[in-house]
Amino acid sequence: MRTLLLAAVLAGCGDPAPIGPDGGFQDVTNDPANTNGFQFATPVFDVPQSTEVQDCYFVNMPDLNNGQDYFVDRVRLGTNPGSHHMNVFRVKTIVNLGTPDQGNYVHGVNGQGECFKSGNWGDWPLVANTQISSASNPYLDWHLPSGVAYRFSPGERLMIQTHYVNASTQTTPYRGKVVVDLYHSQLTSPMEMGTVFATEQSIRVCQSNPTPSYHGTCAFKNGGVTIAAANGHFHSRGTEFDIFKWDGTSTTQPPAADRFYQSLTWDDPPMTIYANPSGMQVPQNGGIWWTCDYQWIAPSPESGGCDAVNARDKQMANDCCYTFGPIVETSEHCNVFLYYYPKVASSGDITCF
Amino acid sequence: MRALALLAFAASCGSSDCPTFIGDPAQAPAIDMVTLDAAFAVHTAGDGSELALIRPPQGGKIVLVGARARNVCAGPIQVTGAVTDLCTGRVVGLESRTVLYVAAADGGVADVKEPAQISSYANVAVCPNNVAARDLDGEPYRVTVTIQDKLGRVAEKVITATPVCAEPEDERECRCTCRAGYANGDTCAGFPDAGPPVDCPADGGMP
Repeated sequence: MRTLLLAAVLAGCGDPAPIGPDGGFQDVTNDPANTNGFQFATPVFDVPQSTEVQDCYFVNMPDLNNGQDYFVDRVRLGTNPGSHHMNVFRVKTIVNLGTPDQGNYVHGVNGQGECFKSGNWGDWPLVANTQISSASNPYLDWHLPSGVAYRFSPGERLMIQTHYVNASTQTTPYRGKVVVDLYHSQLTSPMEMGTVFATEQSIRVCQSNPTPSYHGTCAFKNGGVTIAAANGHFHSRGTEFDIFKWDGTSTTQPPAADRFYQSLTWDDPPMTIYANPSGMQVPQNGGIWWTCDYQWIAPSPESGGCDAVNARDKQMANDCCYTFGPIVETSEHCNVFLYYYPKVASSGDITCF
Repeated sequence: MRALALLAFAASCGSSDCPTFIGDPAQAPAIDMVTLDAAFAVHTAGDGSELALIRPPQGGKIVLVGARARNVCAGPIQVTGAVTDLCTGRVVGLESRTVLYVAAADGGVADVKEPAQISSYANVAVCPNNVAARDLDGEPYRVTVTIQDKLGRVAEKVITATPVCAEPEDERECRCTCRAGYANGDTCAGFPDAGPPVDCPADGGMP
């Protein structure tokens, strides 16, 4: 009791208690109630100052249905603050990532390593993405629309990619950690959830052309699909990310009334979930039209300034042009993460590059 | 003579909204469509032209289309390129980007600042393609280029042109991934014996 009293006095008066590596933040954890689904957690790891850490973890989905395919209708992703993104992909063609000799963990720092090279997962369908980096609510907890679920096979290989930044544009105040919970659905024949992963890769945000706008389109092979959720992704030069429903035949930007997604905050883009499917149907033979608007800003001296940006420019324009790439400090992105149903064989999970 | 004087005046004296106007602001903007080939040479594109299918750094296959413009404000111009299936009316590839334009050597035309760079043209990704009903290689398509300058002046050019695999070292892979029905991740091992091409529907399917 005396010890407790002393502790209480120390806590209430005098010098503050020393702050541990997590500064009082409780690392994200798996959901203990998820007893019959899939769970994954990374170790807790440090993200040193002036570094960007991108790690790729490989896992095999468990057998939850006596050797048969099964469904997942709830996704819960947790990320300690400082996360730039966390993606889950289904592993398909192996290029230089996910090889047997690499094992189940591939580490990357500051753009180096196979986990940073997007060509390594060019045909890997997206499962889920979160860009939450909040200490107060570090979880994305998504109950899929009623009657909709992801299909998985026992032993199916997934790649869980984490990207933590502790630099000038984004910081990691504590330590990195990511958790994944996939909840086994009791549905026997749900509509399957499909995904779209679309990117504009030939982008340039240059000092001499400081406010460029890039637009792309991605169409569904068939009609009759409903958009369930969407998220955009760019870096700190990004000012506005819009996604529109598109009729698949027009070559001009759709009207504002067809815009269903907008992000004005590059480091906390809204993962927008459309609880009401009304109005979220894509026109027959249509798809999506997305736009990324940018404002060039000078790179920080800590990140190497324009020399570091110019060094990444394959065009060697010496115009401090941010180009497509994974490094938050010195490159840009223009990526769409979109979820739709029903996924049908002729559409499937779609990539548009 | 009077018209020439007006042109010169217009080209040299801009406003705060447009520091450098190229051509005659009283005239509607107009463009010639251009394309970049696999050797990074610029060609004017018109009906019947071939468009090079090339592999860009981002992978896949693209065609590069853009414009030379008259009667526009130089500086940043939004360039949109689209490839549309003549049979179905579906757009099989579209991209839009902001490109810097300057006065060309003769002063009467606005041209891109860096004509030999692929970033100066709409990078229209067409292969692989999950909606194309016909092969992308060797089949005619409708190609549209639209520009909009900072004053909001718009010009458009539409042609019928044929994308063709243009990089010899990549030709087999290009023809395989640009065939109708190819899906990302499909093998090209059986190509070119993977099946007959899909013909244009008898009814044309045009909207």
